[in-house]
Formats: sequence, C-alpha cells, structure tokens
Amino acid sequence: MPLRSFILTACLLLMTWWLATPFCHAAEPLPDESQVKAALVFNIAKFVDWPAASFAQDSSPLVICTLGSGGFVSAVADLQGKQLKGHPVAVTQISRAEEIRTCHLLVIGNADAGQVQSVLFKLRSQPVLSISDRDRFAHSGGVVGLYRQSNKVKFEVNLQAAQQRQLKISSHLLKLARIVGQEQP
Amino acid sequence: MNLSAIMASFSIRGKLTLIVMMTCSITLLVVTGAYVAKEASGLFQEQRSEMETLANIIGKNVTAALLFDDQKAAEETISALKIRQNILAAYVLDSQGRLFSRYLAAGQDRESFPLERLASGAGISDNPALLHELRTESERVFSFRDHATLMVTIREDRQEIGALVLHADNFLLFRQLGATLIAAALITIGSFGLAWMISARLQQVISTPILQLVHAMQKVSETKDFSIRVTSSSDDEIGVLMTGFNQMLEEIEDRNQVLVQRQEHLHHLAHFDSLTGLPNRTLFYDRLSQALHLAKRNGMTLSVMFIDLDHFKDINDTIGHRNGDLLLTMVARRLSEVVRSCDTLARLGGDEFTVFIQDCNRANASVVAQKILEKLETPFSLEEKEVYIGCSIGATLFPEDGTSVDELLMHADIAMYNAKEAGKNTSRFFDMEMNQESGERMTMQTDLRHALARNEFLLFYQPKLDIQNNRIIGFEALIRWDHPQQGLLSPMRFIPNAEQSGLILQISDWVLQQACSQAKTWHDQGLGPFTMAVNLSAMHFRRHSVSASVRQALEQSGLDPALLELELTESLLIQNNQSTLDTLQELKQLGVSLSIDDFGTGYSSLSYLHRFPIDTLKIDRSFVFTMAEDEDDLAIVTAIIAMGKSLRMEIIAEGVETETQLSLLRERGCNAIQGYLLSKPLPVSELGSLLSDPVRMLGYG
Repeated sequence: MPLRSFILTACLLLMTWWLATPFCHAAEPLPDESQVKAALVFNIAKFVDWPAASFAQDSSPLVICTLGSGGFVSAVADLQGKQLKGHPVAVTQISRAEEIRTCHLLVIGNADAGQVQSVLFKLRSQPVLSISDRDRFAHSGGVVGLYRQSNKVKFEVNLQAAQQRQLKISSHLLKLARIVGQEQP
Repeated sequence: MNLSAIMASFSIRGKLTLIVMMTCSITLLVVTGAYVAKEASGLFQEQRSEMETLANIIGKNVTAALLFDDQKAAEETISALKIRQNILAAYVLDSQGRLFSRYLAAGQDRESFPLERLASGAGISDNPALLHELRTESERVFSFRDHATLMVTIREDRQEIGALVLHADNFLLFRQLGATLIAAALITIGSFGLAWMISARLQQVISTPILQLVHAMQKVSETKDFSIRVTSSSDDEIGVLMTGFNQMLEEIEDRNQVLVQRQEHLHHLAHFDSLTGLPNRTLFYDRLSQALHLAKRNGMTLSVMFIDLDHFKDINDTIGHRNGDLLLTMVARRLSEVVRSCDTLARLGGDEFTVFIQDCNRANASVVAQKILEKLETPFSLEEKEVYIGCSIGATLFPEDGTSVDELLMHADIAMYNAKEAGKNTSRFFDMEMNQESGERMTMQTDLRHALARNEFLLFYQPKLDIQNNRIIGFEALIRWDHPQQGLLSPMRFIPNAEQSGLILQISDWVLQQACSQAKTWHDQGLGPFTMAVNLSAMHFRRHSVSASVRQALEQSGLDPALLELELTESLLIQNNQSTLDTLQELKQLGVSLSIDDFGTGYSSLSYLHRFPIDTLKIDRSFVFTMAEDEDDLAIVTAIIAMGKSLRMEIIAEGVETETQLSLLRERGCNAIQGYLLSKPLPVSELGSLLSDPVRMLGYG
C-alpha cells in the first residue's frame, strides 16, 4: 500500500510536471504567476491609504478578504500574518457580500460573475480595495485589475472607483499603473 | 642651528620685525586655515546634503518601480536628475543588488563609474570588493576624487527593496574651493603685507631709542667723549635705561676728569721735582737721551753740566731745613734764568742740579758756566739774612766726552768733583786725566778696605806745649796710611774717600783704640802725664755709637779717661739740637775732655759755646799763620783767647811755626801751642826726648 501510494503519487507528480511543462514554458519567466500576483497585491496595498476610520487602532489587523477560489486566492492566503503598513495581515475567505464590510482589501479569484458584480456593487461606497485578475475587472467597477502583458503581470487602476471608495492611491503606484475608466454597463 | 641662534645674528630691528611677523603669520595661517577648512567643510557638507536629499527623493520615487519591477519607470524617475548638472550618474539596484536602472549625464563615460563593472545579472553582494569600494566612497564626506559617491538603501515598510547610488561631480566644488583658497591666499598676503608695514612702524617705537643708545655708546667708545648724552623721549623702561645711561656717563665723565687730573698730577710727580718744580732725574734722562739722538742725527754738539752747591749741608744745618728748601727753590729759579727754554735744567736730588744745553760747543759752555757762577754770586736773602752760596760745575761735551747719557753724566760728575777739589765755586771741563784720577779714587777705596786688615794704618803724634810752663802736656794722634805703592799718605788723601765709603767709622774706632793704648803704654812706662787727643769725624759723631766706641777704647786700654781728649769740628756743633747736646753730655760723663778743632773757620754763631760742655778751643792755623802780619787776624786770635778765658776754656793755637807767633800767643795768655815750631807729627819711635824730657824752653834755647 505505501509502495502503491508512493508510486501513485510519483506518477501523479510526473504527470503534473509533464502536463504543466507546456504551460510553464508558455508562462516564462513567471513560474508561479499566483504568487507574483499575491506579491503584487501586497505591494499595491502599500501604496494605498485607507480612511482613518477603517482601522479601529494602529494595531488593528489589515483584513484581506478573498472571494472565489484558485491559485491566486490561495497564494494571497499565504500573506496571513505578514506586516503591512504597520498592521498585521489577516486573510479571510468570504462567500457572501455582507461579510465584506469588515474587509480592507478584497481579492477576487475564480468566482461567479454575477456574484462578483453584486459584491462590487455593494462595495461601491465602502473603503475596500478590490483586486482581481479577472478580465477587465477595473473597467467593470473594481479598483485594481491585474493583467498580463508581455509575460509580465501588470495592473490597472480605476481611479474613479478608488475615489468613490475614499481610497488614496499613491502617485508612485499610479505612475506604474494603467489608468482605466468606468465602463457603463 | 636652532631658532635662538639664528635670532642672535639678527639686529634688534630684525628681531622685532621677525617676532611681529611670526606672530602675525601664525595667527593668519591658523585663521585662514580654519576659514578654508570651514568653507571646504561647508561645501562638502552642502553637496552631501544635496545628494542625500536627492537620494531620498529618488529613493521614494523609485520605490514603486522597484516593488513592481518596473525598470522603465525607474529609469524615467532617475532621468529627472538631468536637471541637476552636478549629478553625473545614478544607479538603482534591486533587492538582490542587481543593476536595476541607470542614469548617465550627457557626455559621461560609463567606464568611469564602478557599478559599470558589475556583471550583468549579478548581485553586488557577489562582488564584495565593489561593494566595499562603494560603501567606503559613500562614507567619505570629503572626497577629493573627481566625483563624490553616495549609496543609500531604499526601504519600503522597513524592508530593503533596493539601493540607490549617486555620483556627483566634484568639479564645481573644487572650483569653489579653489576660489576660496585664492581668496584666502590673497587675504593672507594682503594681511601679511599690512602686518609688515605696521610692524616696520611699530618696532621703531622700541628699536629707535635702543639704536639711539647703541649709537651713543659706540660714539662714546670711539671718541672717548663722555660728554655725549642721549635724549630720553619715553617714560617706560627704555626711558629709564636712557636716563641710567646718561647718569652713568655723567659719573664716568666726573671720574674721568678726576682720573685725568690725578694722572697729570702723578705724571708731574713722576717727572718733576716737587720742591723746585724742575724736571727730575727721570725726565732729565729721558730728555737728554732724546736730545742725544737728535744731536747724533744732525751732527750737533751738546753740553751736559753737573752743578753742585758748595757747603750746602753746612748752610742747611745753619739756616734750618725749611730755609734750606727755600734756598734750593731760589737757586733753582736763578739757574732757570740762565738756561734757554729749549734746554733742560733738572734737580737730581739734594743740592745737585744738572743741565744740558743743545747745539753748544766748549766756548758756549764756558759762557753758560760762567753765567751760572755769576748768578749765584748775589747773596740770597732768607728771613732778612743774607746767605752766600756758590757752586761747583762739571761740564762735558757731546760727542767728545761721551755719547751716552750715563757716560756724559758720570764724566760731568767727575769734572764737578775736580771743580770741588780745585777750591769750589768754579767750573771744570772734563778731560781724560780726570777720569784717570777718578779711577784712582776708586782704586783707593778698594785699597782702603784692605788697609785695616793689612794693618797699613799707623799713628803719628804731634806734641802740645804748655807755653806758660814750657811743658809737653799731651799729643794729638794723627793718622797716616802706609800705602804699599804710594808710600806714606796724609789723611787729606784718603779721609774724604773713607768718609764717602763709610770706612771712616772703622778707621775712627781703630784710631781711638790705638791712641788710647799708646797713651796707656806711656803712662805705664811712667812717662807724662800726657793727654791724648783724637779727632772725631762728623760722621762718627752723628752715629750715636760714638760714646760706646769711646767707652770701649777706654776699657780695652785701661786709660784714665781724663787723659783722653776728643777733638770735634766746629761744624759738628752747629747742629744746635738736643741730640748733639746729649751725645756731648754722654762723652763728658765718661770723664773725657772735649775740644773744638779749627775754631774760627765755622759759620756758626758763638752762642753754642756756653751751652756745650767744651773744655778746650783750638785756634785755627789760618789765623795763627798770618797774625804776625795781619792786624785783623791778630785781633781775632786775641778775641778768641779772651773769650775762651772768660768761658774758662783752655786755648791752644795750632800751626805755630815761628817764635814771633809764639811770643804773641804767650803775651795774650794762650795756654798751649801745637805746630812745627815745636815738632811736626812723628811716629812713636821718633818721639824720643819729647816723651822722656817733656820740659821745652822754646824760644829760649
């Protein structure tokens, strides 16, 4: 049994490697895009200022909520416990839009489009920085959208959305970002 | 050579200037150095702070680019540095130390910056040498390379996310530094020049009075003029020094004056006779030797004369020493009147004068000598008394009588001696025969010394006759010298010589003893009684040993003192003083009798006669010799006899040669005679009947 399971595991791994190889080749030089994206989330958060009322205390945790699933979301979960802008990072998986009120940052992975739209709508005046790698996320009401360009993960910012949500995004960040406007649905 | 040794060779001006300049220079250098250092420090700090500011701004601005790995954005950010002309290059390194982005100012060469050596894709931590170089350079605020380097870490949220390296051009800084240095140098040189000018002025405040002192001192030591004074202008220590200097000079001047006076006085004392003011022996010798040099060179003649006053000792004794001195002064004055101003008259001592006359032949010299003699013919008046004094002159001629000072003077002395011999108050020129005689005198003196030892002296005895009783009453002992070559010599020939040499004392003692012994012998033989008369020389008498000598002679011979008669010269008694009287008293106490020899020839008054214990007067032969023909002399003899009688003295006439004289004397009551009429002096062996048959009937048989 252990042997069998070992062999099975080995075979699975081999298979995974083999399956992944063409993908990996295509995604060079980013072997783990999710982690890069998670890191981007972390770094972007550094250049964003939340309204003072968002934190009860200086030591209050900076809450990152994740919605949906996928490698990106799981990678973000790893940020749990890190320090960000002087606050400990707390990562929470949420499933309902109501839970979002306590979040500072909302990372959206693979999720139902309707649900996303609903959440985004509910969040439109909440000081929550929403980040997702969904296509045209920023255009459709998200604050920061991640996209790929020439093998690099870039980001775009919906300034209007950010202003609505009372989020101040550093000009340094904006300089590196692609600024997008709100598309009317 | 240290600093003080160098300083020692400088003048006081140099020293003061040097001190002021050194002080100024050191102060200036320190101040300028501090100023330059502060300026440089300010410039470096300024550049540094500018770089730090820039690095902070750039660091902040590239944070996002680094975090999001956006090289392009980073390059854009740092390219903003191009407005800063002094920033040559900027490099952004990522968190791994890899070159992230760079900025190079226009025209800058990549190779001149260290980070260009970093291999592509390699982190700086892989190249520790490079890292060390960058860190070292970055820490160096005062970099003198052509560019300054600053490396700062870029942090975000306490995390090192990269680094920024800036290179700033030092050229501008150096240019500013250079300008500062030039300004400082100019200020320094200007201040130095100013300090030089001021110190040149200021040092005069001190150096001028000191140099004034030095010049005054040099002038004083060069000219020996102690009347120089410095004018003091300040009240400080230099003023005190100058005042002190002046006081010192004043003191020296005063002392110098006293010294000069004393020197003149000493010079005068050393060269002039204090009594007469005439040149003394030293000056005379000096002048004569100079005159001789001159005469030798010019072939001229010269005469040296030796002038000795006649009988000065006797006159001096008579008139007293004070008057004697006065007389010498007067004589000197008269002699000076004869001598020309170019000739020198000197007093050698006592009554000896010398004179030398330049350009003078024998004829001239005789004229001068004659003039001198004539000058002294007029009597001198001293305390209302008239004193006559003559002189004897010995003259020598240069070059025939001698060529040296000593020779000329010695010969003049001999000539003078001859003049004395010739009867005094005359002059004689030296000739070689005199020299010979003088030599004989010298020989005689030697012979005299031996004569006593060789027993060459002998006594002759001349009898004295009591003309009232026609009896031989005694004898006068007269010395003779049986000279081995010259035969029998009378005392006239050798006594003066014996007196000169001092041998007279021994000879007198010998005579005393010999005469006493003879008298005792006669007495013992039952002859007589005869008195024995012995002549005492003045020199012997003046020695206080005379009474001791007499006592000794009496004791040795055992003669009755009453039989001894001492004959004294009249001049001896002229010294009318206590010591003479004392000596006479002593002799008298011995029991001897005293007589005065050659009475009437002295210059004295008669007042002494009754004061002295004199027993007998012997009338001088010169009166006796002429009294038969000369009324005056007879009167004198008569007077002497009468006076002697009234003073209760015995009177003896000397030199009686004729019956006429004898009868004249006898008529006038003269006690005794002595002379050729009775007998010439005879040796003991020839006395014969004079001793054994003393009764003589002169003039009667």
